[in-house]
Amino acid sequence: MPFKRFVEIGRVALVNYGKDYGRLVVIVDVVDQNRALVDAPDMVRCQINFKRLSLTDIKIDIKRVPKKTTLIKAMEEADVKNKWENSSWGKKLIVQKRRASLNDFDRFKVMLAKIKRGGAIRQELAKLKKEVAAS
Amino acid sequence: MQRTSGTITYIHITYMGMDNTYTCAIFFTFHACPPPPPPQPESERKSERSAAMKTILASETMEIPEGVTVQVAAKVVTVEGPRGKLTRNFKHLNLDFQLLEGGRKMQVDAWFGTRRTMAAIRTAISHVQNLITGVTKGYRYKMRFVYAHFPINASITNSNSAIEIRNFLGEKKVRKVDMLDGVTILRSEKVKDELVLDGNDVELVSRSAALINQKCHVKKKDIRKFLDGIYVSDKGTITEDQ
Repeated sequence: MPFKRFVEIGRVALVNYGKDYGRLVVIVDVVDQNRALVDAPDMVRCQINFKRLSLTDIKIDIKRVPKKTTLIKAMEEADVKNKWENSSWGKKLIVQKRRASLNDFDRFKVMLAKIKRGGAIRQELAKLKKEVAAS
Repeated sequence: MQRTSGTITYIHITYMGMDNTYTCAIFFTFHACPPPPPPQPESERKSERSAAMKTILASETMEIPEGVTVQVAAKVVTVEGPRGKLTRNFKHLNLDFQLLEGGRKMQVDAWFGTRRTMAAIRTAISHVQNLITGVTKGYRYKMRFVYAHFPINASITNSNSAIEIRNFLGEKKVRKVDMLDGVTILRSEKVKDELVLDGNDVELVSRSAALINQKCHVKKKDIRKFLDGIYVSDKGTITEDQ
């Protein structure tokens, strides 16, 4: 039950409110009890309230407020992008984004695929039921 | 941008009796300045208190002796030992209880705590230590009858779980006190006019003793002169060691 994800320098977090919604950032310094200084390879370093952050399991090895190039190098070494995209949380976000960006034709294709999948599941279930009934 | 403004406020070193362990917690606190209150005319000024300072993390650890198993889930602590099992619910506290070292140590954390919550850490630990001694040694409270002229007549009923007190100050009223759950009472054999209350849970044993004491208060008299009553003489454990 104790806490496992701590706010520390190098903790990777997801912004969950505001202008940078959905962006992965790294905490590079703590301003005060409520705010952190936050940085990412493709944005200007800025301060953000902790309430706008969701901490992840990923942590990188940096010193306080590193230069942009040092930060990018550290993120490459820790392989943040791949770890994120392979984590179940990251995968869920990718799927959500894909679903939100479907056009009508895509949604039609998804509907057909779902029907087909449902049909295959029902066939297998019928087979299993027949086996149980026979025995 | 403000730099991180903070200081090491105090280094809290605690000595936990059982085997000379010291635990140390260094509290690094942030200074948060609340905004200055807006100027208000005297008549309208409400009583405003400035925000209390919060300490990021304050924690204490305690040792759990051999022979005792402690389980903690959702702030409910269960302690099991040779004399039985006791539970205590700490849901009214905002603390984090966790077991370390596979049950040999218990740590209590307070995250962003005010002075009050940090004070509650040590009381929670004391409560758990009382549970542990209750379950290993048990609690024995001894009470003595004190009377000047009218001998207090006490009879234990209900298989050691209730007491009837007669002739207190010569009164006709019979006082009956039921012991609480898990508390037994008997008259001590060798000592004159003594009651012995035994139990595992210190809260229940001491409360039963208090109930007996309160039944025998003197009314409408100078209590400096009429000193009759049943008073707690000894608070100890059942199995003595040392």
